[in-house]
Amino acid sequence: MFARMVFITNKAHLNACMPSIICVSTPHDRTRLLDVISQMTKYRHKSHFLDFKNTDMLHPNGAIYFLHHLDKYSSIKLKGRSSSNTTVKAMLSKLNVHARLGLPLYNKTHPMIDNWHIFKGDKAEFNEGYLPVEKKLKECLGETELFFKLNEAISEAVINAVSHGYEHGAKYKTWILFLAVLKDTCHVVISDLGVTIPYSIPFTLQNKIRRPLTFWNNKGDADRIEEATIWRKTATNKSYRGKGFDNILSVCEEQKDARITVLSRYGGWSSQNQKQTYHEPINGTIITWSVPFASLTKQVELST
Amino acid sequence: MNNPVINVANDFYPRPAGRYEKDGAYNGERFRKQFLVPKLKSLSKSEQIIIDFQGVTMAGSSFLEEAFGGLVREEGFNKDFLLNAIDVRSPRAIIKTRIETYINEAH
Repeated sequence: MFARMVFITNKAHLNACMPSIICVSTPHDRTRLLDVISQMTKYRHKSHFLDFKNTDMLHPNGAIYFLHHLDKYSSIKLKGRSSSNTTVKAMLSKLNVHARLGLPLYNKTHPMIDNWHIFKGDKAEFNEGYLPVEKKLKECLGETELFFKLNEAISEAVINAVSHGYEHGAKYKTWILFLAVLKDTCHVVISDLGVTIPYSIPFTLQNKIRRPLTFWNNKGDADRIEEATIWRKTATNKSYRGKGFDNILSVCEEQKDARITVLSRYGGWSSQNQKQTYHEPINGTIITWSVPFASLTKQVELST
Repeated sequence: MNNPVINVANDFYPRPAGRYEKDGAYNGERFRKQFLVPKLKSLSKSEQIIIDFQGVTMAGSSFLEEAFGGLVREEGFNKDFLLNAIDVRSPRAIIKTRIETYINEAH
C-alpha cells in the first residue's frame, strides 16, 4: 500500500519520492521503483520532480534500469533533489542523473564510485573508453587466458544485447553496461529494454530445436529463462549454437564462486538455481555477473 | 618465400567484435570481406596467409565464426583449402583451435 503512495500530483507536475533502495531484484524495492518509472513514462508530457533525499542504496540492477529509462525517455522534463547520502549523491552525479535533474555535479572519491565504469551504445564497439577497464583487468589477471576469456565474454554480452535484445527495426536499441573491478571481484551488469528472454525464447528454440510452442504454455518467465540457459549448455559443440550468452555461462561454470543473475520480464533466475517470479514485469533484460578474481588466480596457480 | 601477413590488431583492430555491420565497425563480416577474401583469392599454391593475433585482446566467438566460418558458408571456399592456406599465429592456442572448429562446422 505504501508503495502506491509515492506520488503527489498537481496540475503542473508530478512529485515522486524515490525508494530508499533502488533495486529490481527484491520484490518490495522493485515495486516502488517500477511505480516511479511507470508514472514517469505514462505522464511523460508532464514535468516530474524526483526526490532522492531518502535514497541510501543504489543496487546496480536498479540503477541501470532507472538510468536506461532516463536515456530512452530523454525528453521528459525532470527536476529533483539528490540523496543526503554523499556516496549515493556522488554516484547519481556520476551516472548523469544530476545533470538530468538540473542539479550541480557532485564529486567524491570512493572506491564504490571510482571503480564503476559506464558504457552505452547501440553497437558492439570497444573504443578507447574501454581501455581503463581492460587495463584494470590486466593488472588483476595479467595476460592470462582468463583475462582474454573475461574480456571476450563482456564483448559477447554486449553483442547479445545488440543482436537479440531488440526487435528488428526497433527505433531504440541502446544497451547500457556497468562494469567494476572491486577488491577481488569483477562485476558486469548489462541492460537492454528490448523484447525480453521469456518472450523471445519460445520462437528462438522453435527454430533451433523445434520445441513446439505449446510446450511454453505452462512455463512462467523464470522457467523460460532457465530453459534458455539449459539450451545454451546442451547446445555446446553444435554448429547452430548461440555464441553470446554461452561465453558468459561458460566463464561462470568454470570459475568457482562466479554468479550470474538474469532478470527479464516477470522472471528472475540465478546460476545458483534460484528462480523468482515477480508481480510486476520489467520491460527488458538485466544480466548481472560477478566473477571473483580469487577463484580465477587460484585456478591459474593450479593449472601452471 | 614471403607469405602474406595480416596483423589483426594493427591492420584491423585490437578489439574486433560482432558478426555484421549492425553489430559494430570492426565486425567479422568486414574482416572477412576486406582482408581474408582478397588475400585468399590472390594466394599462390605454395603460399599460406599468416594471420597474426598478437595484440588482439578480444576476439569473441561471433567475430571469429563470421570471419572464418563465413569463408565456407558465404564465400564458398573449400574447407581443406582453408585449413591448409591459413596459418593462425596467436599467443593463445585456443584462437587457432576455434578458427579451425568454425571452418570445420560451417556449412
